[in-house]
Amino acid sequence: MRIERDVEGNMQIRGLTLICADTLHRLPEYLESDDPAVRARLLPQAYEDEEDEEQWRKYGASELEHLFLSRVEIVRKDLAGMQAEGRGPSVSIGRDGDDEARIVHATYRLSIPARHKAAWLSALNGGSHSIFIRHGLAPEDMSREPGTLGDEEKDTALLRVHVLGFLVHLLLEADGYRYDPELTEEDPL
Amino acid sequence: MSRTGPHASIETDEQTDTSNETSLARPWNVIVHDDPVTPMAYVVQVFMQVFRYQQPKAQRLMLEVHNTGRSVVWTGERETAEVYVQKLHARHLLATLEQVGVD
Repeated sequence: MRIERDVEGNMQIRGLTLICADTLHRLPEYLESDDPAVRARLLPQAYEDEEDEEQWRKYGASELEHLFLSRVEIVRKDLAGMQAEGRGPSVSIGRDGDDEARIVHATYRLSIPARHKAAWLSALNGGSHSIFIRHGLAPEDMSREPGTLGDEEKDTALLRVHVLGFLVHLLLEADGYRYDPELTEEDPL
Repeated sequence: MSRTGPHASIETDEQTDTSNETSLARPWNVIVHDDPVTPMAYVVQVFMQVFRYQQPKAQRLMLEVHNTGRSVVWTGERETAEVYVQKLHARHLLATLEQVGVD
């Protein structure tokens, strides 16, 4: 998987594998989840005080709901343009002895306009939280390798969270961000 | 948001209690809490974008969140603090508001 960025900041993610493409296509569903635990995480509490929190819900959180809706539309629109690239192995999909076969596309590419980048970064992070909660992952699972949890559903969920996290890193790096643990606040940038 | 938001009513309330006046004058902390999902690099990028912090400061705050579970990332008047918390929530960071000096 790699990312190409043009001079205007538009990005094209190339070489998305099937699991990556599938996870991205599920992003709107993750973000629109009506699971109360997911909603609570995507619109978290701001105040400990009940009265303050109620006011916050009334104004701040409702604005966020609108923002999230428009963000999902941006994601959906870009996903509609996802294209297959390259060809993978031929696999049999025949039924009842029919040996019909089809070509499975090996990879996909996704274009993200520069003006959509911030929406995508937030959506990828929000989607990760949604998956994490919906599939009952635990904080300690995050340091495990997918496939080692002993539960197929959780293993797939963990893989999807890692996929989205990796895409966040790709987008940030394409935009010039590099984590440097040696940086100190005295260093001029 | 904030002008019609949570503390608009406080501004119009008559304040006769000195302790309340003191309380209103106290600044508010924006606190970011650790979560197991958000990539660390994204947290740094959000701090740089939302608060206009330089990368070294943003990284220090991110590591404080990661290592201690929370960090006060900004302190100031309530209205601005609310705007920051809303921006952090928009990016799915766990952020809360807490008045300085309130246990």
